[in-house]
Amino acid sequence: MLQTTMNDHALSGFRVLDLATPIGTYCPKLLADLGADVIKIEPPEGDPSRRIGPFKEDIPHHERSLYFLNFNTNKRGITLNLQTPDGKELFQSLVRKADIVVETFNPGYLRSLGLDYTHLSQINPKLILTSITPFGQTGPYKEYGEADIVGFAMGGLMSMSGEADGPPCTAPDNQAYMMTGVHAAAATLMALWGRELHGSGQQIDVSMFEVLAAISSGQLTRYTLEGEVSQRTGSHSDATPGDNYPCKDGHVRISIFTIRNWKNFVEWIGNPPELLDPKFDFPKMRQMNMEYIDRFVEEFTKTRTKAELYESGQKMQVPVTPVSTPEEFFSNSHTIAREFFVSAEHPEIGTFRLPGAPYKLSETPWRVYRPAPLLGEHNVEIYQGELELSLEDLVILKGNGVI
Amino acid sequence: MTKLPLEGMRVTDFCHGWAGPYMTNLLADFGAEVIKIESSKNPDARRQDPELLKKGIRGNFSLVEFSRNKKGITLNMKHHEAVELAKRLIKISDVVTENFSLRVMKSWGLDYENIKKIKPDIIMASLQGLGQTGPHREYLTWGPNLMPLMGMTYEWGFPDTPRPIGTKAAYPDFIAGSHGAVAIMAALHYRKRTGKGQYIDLAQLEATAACMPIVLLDYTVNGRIQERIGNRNRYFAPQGCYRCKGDDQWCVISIPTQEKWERFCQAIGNLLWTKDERFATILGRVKHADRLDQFIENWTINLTPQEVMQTLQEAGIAAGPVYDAIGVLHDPHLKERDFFVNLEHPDIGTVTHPNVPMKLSETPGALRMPIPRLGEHNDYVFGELLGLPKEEIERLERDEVIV
Repeated sequence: MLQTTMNDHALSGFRVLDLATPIGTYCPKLLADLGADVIKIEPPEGDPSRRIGPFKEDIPHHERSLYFLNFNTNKRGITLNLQTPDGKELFQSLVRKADIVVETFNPGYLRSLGLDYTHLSQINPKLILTSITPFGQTGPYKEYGEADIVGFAMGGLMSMSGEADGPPCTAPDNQAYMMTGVHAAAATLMALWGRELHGSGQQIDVSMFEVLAAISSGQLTRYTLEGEVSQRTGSHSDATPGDNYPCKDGHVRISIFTIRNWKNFVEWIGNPPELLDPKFDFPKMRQMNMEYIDRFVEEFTKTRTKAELYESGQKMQVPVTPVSTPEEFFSNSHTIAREFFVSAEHPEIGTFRLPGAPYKLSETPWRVYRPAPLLGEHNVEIYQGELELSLEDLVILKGNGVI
Repeated sequence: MTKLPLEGMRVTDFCHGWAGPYMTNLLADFGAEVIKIESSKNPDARRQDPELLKKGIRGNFSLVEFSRNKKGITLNMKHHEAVELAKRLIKISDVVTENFSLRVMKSWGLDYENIKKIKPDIIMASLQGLGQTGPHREYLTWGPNLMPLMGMTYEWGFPDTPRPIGTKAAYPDFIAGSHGAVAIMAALHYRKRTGKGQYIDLAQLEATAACMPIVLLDYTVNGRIQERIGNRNRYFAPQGCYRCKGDDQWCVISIPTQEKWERFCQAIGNLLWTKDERFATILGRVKHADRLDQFIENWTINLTPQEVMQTLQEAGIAAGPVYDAIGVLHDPHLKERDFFVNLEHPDIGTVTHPNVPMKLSETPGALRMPIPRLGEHNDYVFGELLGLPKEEIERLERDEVIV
């Protein structure tokens, strides 16, 4: 692990208390990976996400969840039972020194514990409380339950995904949760900026439903202006050629939008005379003759491999890419050259490769300097070191199910 | 006037398409002064949209979807005087954003190395498909190529379809845009603390890959390539998308625990099949998921998606309709939370915009300005900000620099 000093990360010096469940967990991860001091607060029996698969070698164990491992990089971890009087008091002591709390409880739950924003802001007027819920803190659905697939369905993206005559299909790997988390992180950093400007902290109400509706707003605007509703059409897009075309060992994606794309494409597949007809220079004409044109595309692609097509097509400036498996993305020379996957080490997992930076910052590069914490790993460091409890106190708290 | 968290921050915005404009839109919504550089010599593709032209919308305005709250100026960057004006604007900006193909900024002498000389603490964000480095950095990709290339398309679809589906939505644009906003905010916090600017190299491919971490980790740690599962969940059943009453009407339902299963059975009136032994245990439900899904659809087919949602959500079960644009626009919860904002536009008339999906209690973002007309803010930017006399602006217009 790299040794780092306090000041060399983008968010060094900010402290975050992380109470997030899967719906919001990407938010504190983004902050931790940018160098904020994020303390993951788990109930004494461990965060429920430690039970989410897959596990290393498919052996279920609370230190082997790849899910927990991914979303808790660069954090410290403590256990704390917020439902006990001692737990609440310790939490409030932590809030005094924190800049941000990220939570995903049902609206009203923190109030029932006496730990809502009104109360916490009395302890720390500069606190940013980022509250992430499926439907927001207000409105008729505010009590409604969460699922990633519900966010993806209600926001509008799912209606555009799937075969035209089949059911809509949701995305892999909890995309609604991911989008909710990244928007929450952006809002948190903006509120933190506003705090410097205007002096006070605030509560941020992030609704998964609204985040997903906002990112499908292209179709929304299109409908309000043009009266046209974007429908699902399987794997092909508004362009022709624009599909996943079968080849010898899988599929390639070809997207021909501009006239130059089209000219290059026709030359690439050997100038079939039928496609030299100038009417096909118009996107609309190609779209109207999609099946006809796609036959030429498939004729060309199906006798070649993904790698051949990627290389020869790109050489001729044709927007063609393989439909990669995760393995092929991992071993792609571009992925390797940019060092997207990083090495990390974890006492239970050993050395492993982790998907890395969503962005490369020149002065404060993304890195994993600490793996996900073991359960309660930093209890002593934080309770004794920072809150000045004695080891005897910790024994009592442990015995009473507080930590 | 309402306080905004990013007041006083200025962004020189060269972005086009969706990813970059969505990013700067998030900054603009929260108060940054985003100055969008366009030219009638090279208008945003969207403005030439034949569908809009057909409706008599002449397109003398900025990108409809993501230009609200931005200021619009015109600069014909092919002209050396325009480049000089851009440099003067950059000198008084905090952030520069762009998503051109690799050579463009360099050809104007506006790559980071040069911009840094004009404004040493500038933050510059570049959002290309494959990033600034690596062997494929100059490869030609459109939005629809990126998900196939990093593996998400391979994972997105039903197990029995002949080709992976992916989505018709421009989803990676929003992943890249929202991550870009996080990176810029992080860089701004770093600048505040250290006085140093920096360069952000955001490859849309990698931001998208960072959003599929568990699939990738299952490969790097366990060597497993996850197979497509459609709307199912790997760890429980039932979860799915079910046909409802009406034409192309669908709902989604997710039942992750035994307790929720029992509540579900009760909520749908303990229909006979819910007593089936095969469905009594979690392992049984996973094993017989196909059969179970059929029974559930037999129930949903007689109800509207809204009725399914209401019945199940009131019993604590996550469920919701698969909305298209019309569904989103008519949802009562979004209305109650003021999610839609109508702004009057001199050319287009009323445009419905989605509101900011993160509600900040003290410094809420707001929709303050409609999308700018082409060059609407030329006088403000060139006159007020850069101090050019009126005659000089007129000369630059005549010389096709400001155009």
